[in-house]
Amino acid sequence: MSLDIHNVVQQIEGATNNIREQNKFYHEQLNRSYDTLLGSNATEIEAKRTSSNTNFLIPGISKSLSSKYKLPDLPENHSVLAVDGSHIDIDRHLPIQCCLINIGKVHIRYGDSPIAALSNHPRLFSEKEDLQLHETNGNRYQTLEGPLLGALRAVEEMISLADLMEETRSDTPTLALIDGSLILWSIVGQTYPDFVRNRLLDDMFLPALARLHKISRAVPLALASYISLPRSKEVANALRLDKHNCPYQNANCSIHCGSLTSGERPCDGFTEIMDRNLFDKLLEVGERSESFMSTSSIVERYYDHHKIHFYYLHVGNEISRVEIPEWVHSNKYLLDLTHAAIVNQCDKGRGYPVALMEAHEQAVVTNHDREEFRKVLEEALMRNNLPNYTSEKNRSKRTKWL
Amino acid sequence: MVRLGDVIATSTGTFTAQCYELYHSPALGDLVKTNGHYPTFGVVYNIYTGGLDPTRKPTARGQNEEKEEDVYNNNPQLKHLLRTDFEAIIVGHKMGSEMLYHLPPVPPPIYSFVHTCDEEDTKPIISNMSVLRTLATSNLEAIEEVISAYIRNGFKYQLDNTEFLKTVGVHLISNLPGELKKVEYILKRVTR
Amino acid sequence: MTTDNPVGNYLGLVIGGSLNQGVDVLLDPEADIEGIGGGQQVVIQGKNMRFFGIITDITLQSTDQSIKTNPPDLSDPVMASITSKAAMYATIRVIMALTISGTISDSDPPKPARNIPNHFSKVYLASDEDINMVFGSEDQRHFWIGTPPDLESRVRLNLEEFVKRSNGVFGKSGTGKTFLTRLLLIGIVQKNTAVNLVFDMENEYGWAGSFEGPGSVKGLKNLFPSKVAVFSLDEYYSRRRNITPDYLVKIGYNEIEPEDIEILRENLNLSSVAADACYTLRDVYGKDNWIKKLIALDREALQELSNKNNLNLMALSTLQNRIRGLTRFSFLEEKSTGRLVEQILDNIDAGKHIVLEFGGFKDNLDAYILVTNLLTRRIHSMYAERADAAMGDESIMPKPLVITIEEAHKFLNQGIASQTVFGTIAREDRKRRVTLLIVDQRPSGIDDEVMSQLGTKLSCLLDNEKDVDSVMSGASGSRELRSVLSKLESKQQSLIFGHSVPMPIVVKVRDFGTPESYSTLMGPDEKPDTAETLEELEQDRQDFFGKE
Repeated sequence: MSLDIHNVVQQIEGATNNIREQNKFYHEQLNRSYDTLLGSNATEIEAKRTSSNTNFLIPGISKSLSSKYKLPDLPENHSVLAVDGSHIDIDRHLPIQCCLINIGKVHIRYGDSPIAALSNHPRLFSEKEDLQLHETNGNRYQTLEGPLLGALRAVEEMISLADLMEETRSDTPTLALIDGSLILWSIVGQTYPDFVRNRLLDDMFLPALARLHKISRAVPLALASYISLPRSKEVANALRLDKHNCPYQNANCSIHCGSLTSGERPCDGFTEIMDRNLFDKLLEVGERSESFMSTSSIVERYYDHHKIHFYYLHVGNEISRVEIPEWVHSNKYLLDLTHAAIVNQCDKGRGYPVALMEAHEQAVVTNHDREEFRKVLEEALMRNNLPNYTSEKNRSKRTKWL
Repeated sequence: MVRLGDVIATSTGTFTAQCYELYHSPALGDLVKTNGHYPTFGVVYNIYTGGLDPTRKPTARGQNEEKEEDVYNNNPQLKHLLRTDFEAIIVGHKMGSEMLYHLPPVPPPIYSFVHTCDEEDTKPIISNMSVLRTLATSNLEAIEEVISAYIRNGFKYQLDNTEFLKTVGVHLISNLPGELKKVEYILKRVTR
Repeated sequence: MTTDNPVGNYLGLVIGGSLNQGVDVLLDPEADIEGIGGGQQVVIQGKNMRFFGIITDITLQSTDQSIKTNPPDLSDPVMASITSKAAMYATIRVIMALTISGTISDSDPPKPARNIPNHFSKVYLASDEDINMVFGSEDQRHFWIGTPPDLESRVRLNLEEFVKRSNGVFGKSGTGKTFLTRLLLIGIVQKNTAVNLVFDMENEYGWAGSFEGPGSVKGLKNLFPSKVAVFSLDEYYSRRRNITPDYLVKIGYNEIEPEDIEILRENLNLSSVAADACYTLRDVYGKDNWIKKLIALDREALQELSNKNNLNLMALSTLQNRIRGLTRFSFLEEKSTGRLVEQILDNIDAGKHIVLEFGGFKDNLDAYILVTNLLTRRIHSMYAERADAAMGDESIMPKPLVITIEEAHKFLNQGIASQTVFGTIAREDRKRRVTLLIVDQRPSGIDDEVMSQLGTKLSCLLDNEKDVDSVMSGASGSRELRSVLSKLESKQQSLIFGHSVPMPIVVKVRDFGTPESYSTLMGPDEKPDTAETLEELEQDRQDFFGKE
């Protein structure tokens, strides 16, 4: 039976009514939070943060909450490297267990001798060994599927970015760009054993970061990740600590407000506000916000000197979030390079960094590709006289019949 | 002979080749040939440039650029995302060393290299009037322009262009009965 | 069978057509279209036989209809060249006349075409050799009448065949009709296939007196003095020309019959009532005296006659008046010797050809019609009697007699053809041995049935549609041939078709009037009249054919 669109329409009607009501509430919240952003004492909040124990994430604040920076000049001769990945998850309906990660790589050099190189690099995981992440010195393993495969893909992206940088031997100012977060959020919430995090981060991700860091000492290389339409509320969370919101000297949410439900707490005045809403009011086109430091546990625990900072950036038609490692943040030139190059990339890409867009286009695995992948797989099995069966469910999905 | 590109689509009467470099296509009416078991000769009748990915259409980019080439200079990736293809109508093939003016038993395979034709190849083809029939009766879009260009290409191998035009004209008329005006336009475009 | 046709004669290829309407020939681009004319003979080399045909139409065509409304830019030499080469073409229509099978040296006689050649058969203009093959060579029967335009070969008429049927010579005035007729008469004399009786209204066939000056060419008597007897109606006229006719013609009133008046009815402007009165008069006064009596009647006697015989007085009076007019002809006398017809028949029996000159009556149609009708009727009836008596025994059959009459429509028009002796002769089967050679410039005035009975027609240019229709009636391919007929040159050319030629053909009539021509025309035992100088002969020729 197909979707009962009539029924859905009625529900959509109801949902939009809610949105209209929420809108009024939202604007009150936004105005209030924005005033707080401008009026808060950053030093006070930072001090309170370090002495508090909150159950929401608050970034490290260096100087100010509401400083903003004009668009710096972009060196005419510069390069942008970008990597993006996609994957085909293990499909239990397929005759063999395998998955695929496809990494798209883009290198564009602007200026006197413009060039571009676009490529993609698919990698099939089909051997039992490949399909499992093993403990380095132990017997445990975790199968690569679902969020873990996603995490591996993010790791592979970073490794590829480091490879790409080494391959291109670019000596012009270079922005190395990756889509999404520099923080491997996907392994945070999961109940993976420690060795999984160790393997992904210590053995793979962080060494790649280190390689890039090493290169950046020789050539002006800035690493950044780009998040479009960020949903993060870290800066907004910081405003909760403002004295007008949190009456406690040292906040301890569990102790002070643990008995209150969400919405009843004194700091619950900005619940609907995301960081991008605040900075949309603050920033002009091309401007970036102050940088903040991620205090996520995974960064603090694993990232060591690659501590992750972020800032918000008005790229024209939206506020995006840019994440950078410590060694970029602390280098004014590289920081400005990320700012200027990303704005330029978004100009060229009509709101989204063009290099990332092309990397995505290189990496993307369409439904058509997935179907092709399946066919090739089946043909390969047949050629090798291997059993070629598929689940009845899959068969019924592929051949519609009455 | 210059290598232009690879065959990417092929059929009994025509083949399509993709250029190795954007815009580096042969000209309309040029003779090209493929490698392969039956080296196949074709006349270029269509050239097009577009997005490599059919779902991604080129959009205007030049508004803030001073010069047209800046669009490409400031977006170096474009050269990789656009591609130039050309289509050729097959006018003959070689069987061993013999030139035959009919369709090859099978069209050139995909990924056959496509080359320009040198004088040794071109001369006999230009002077073979059955090629004109193949072109004139092909129903391809803008074929009149293609024939004009093809004839013009033949000039450099003629001692007397006027005599050549007369010979060509007589054959065109007999292959396009009732379409004298068409023939006239074709011939006028050759010289003007 | 194949022959090597001269390359220059190549015209093109057969591309379509039908037996009835002729085949279409795609003209070769190299052929000179302006040098090709309607009426020309062509040879088509079929697969198994050769075809002879006549060009009846020439058409300019184009492959592209838009050329007419939207012609290409012909100032561009390339366009001009290729358009004329590839988009324009010409076709000629050829009506099939004959087929010949076998080789050229050993061929069966030509047969009327009942076939058409294959597609893409090659078509050539007929060569002299072709014409000779078709039209036979000079012999006792075949008489050289002329040459096809543009060729040298001789077209010959089969005169033995010719005299078996009545024939006609047509053409508007000044196109050489008389000239052609004279040639035919000479031919008959020379080949001796028949005896001529010529009613020579204009004094053109017997003598050509040198004293008379321009306009005369040698006549039969000049060329064949011993074979020709000249009868004259006008002694004075003959004497004036310093010629002694062999016989003087005298006709008695008693020899005139009502039928002779009847045929003159139109000319004399007589009502039919008046003409009918002749028969009554003959019954009343007797065959020998009715004219003599009638012209002698005074008013009262006429009145009495009218009352007694219930005749209209007015009509009777008019009749008397007209007949009195006729009796003023000097060749008429009250009582004839009765020898004239016998004299003529005697001469004929002696193998002599007879020319009856009208002398001073040359423009008098009444005299011509009266005498011609009167004599013909009598001679025919006696000839017919003899022929019937011979019962088909060739040895005692009289020699074929050809009676030449001019202004033939006067004798053979629709109204009277069925009643006169001429109609009888024209329609009669040839066993009676008398045929007509009718000469006329208005063939449309002649009864259709008579026209269609003619064996061979020789027609010079006619430009009246009715006349053309009339001449073409009964001819196969007439629709196609009529275009040829109306495109003949105005002098000296004639379209000949019918029994005595194997196929219709246009000829340039044989030259006539030079000493050479006379010598070829005369019989072997005849001596040319040495009195004539070359200059005079040249003058004759020019007068006849016009200055070149």
